[in-house]
Amino acid sequence: MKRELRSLDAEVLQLEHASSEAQSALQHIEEELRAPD
Amino acid sequence: MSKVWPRYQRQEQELLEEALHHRERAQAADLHWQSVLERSSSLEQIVRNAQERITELRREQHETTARAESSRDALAGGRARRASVEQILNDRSYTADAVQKLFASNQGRNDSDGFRAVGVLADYAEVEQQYESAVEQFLRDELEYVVVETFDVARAGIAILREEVGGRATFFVDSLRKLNLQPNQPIVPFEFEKQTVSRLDRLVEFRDPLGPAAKQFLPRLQSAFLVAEAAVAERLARENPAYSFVTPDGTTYQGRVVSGGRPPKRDLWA
Repeated sequence: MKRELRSLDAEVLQLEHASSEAQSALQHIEEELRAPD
Repeated sequence: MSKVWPRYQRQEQELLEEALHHRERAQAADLHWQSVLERSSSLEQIVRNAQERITELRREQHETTARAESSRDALAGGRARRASVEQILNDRSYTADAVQKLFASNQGRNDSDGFRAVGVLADYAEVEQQYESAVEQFLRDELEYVVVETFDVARAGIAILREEVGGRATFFVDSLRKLNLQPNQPIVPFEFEKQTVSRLDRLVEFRDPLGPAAKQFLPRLQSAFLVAEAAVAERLARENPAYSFVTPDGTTYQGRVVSGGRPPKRDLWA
């Protein structure tokens, strides 16, 4: 059970990373779209 | 005639110079026109490139938004699963790994899957604080029995253990209310002594939905006695090998078998 918790910890970290990457890519695109030139 | 000729010559010269000047201006204008055309074409290309980039960025934005949403959902799901497992670990830290996994699996299911655990036996047991340690250690296996409502549910639980989570568990089928059970009084083949505190089933009560009838399905409870001193427990065990004698520290004597040790650091009782 604790091993499962550790594996879920790793999965959550990975998902947090993926989510944060997607968010920052989105932010970058929005900035580029708003840029004057 | 001789007076007019030089004037014509001068006019011709002036006209030639003027024509030359206009030709030069026309050439300059033409050059400027070419340059403006080139600039215009270059600007058109820049606008086309910018429009293509904006289209590409919009598409990327659309895809990335979908990816971010899906990541957020997956993250929320992952966090919820983690919290659920952590909760089970906290709530049921005393139970065996297989039972914990069964409860974890139970949480992620809907009723149609056929398995729904009500709790473990320990959730419904009540013992006076002074006897808790002895009873807990003696009944350590029974208190982890998974309480379910029917035999079908128990079979569904066993199927989950076999096919998914692994391990073994014992199920206690809670259909006792449908049985009209009367409390029974087992015959005890020895005299109670001063040091014999009580038969163990009298020290444990089970709350609803199990109720007192649950004790009749836990035979070890009815054949075990709490005894104040180890020496008495040892003697009684020798004389009555079919019964168990438990001392307040949780050591159990049965026939020639003695089991005991350090009680687990946990709060088993609900």
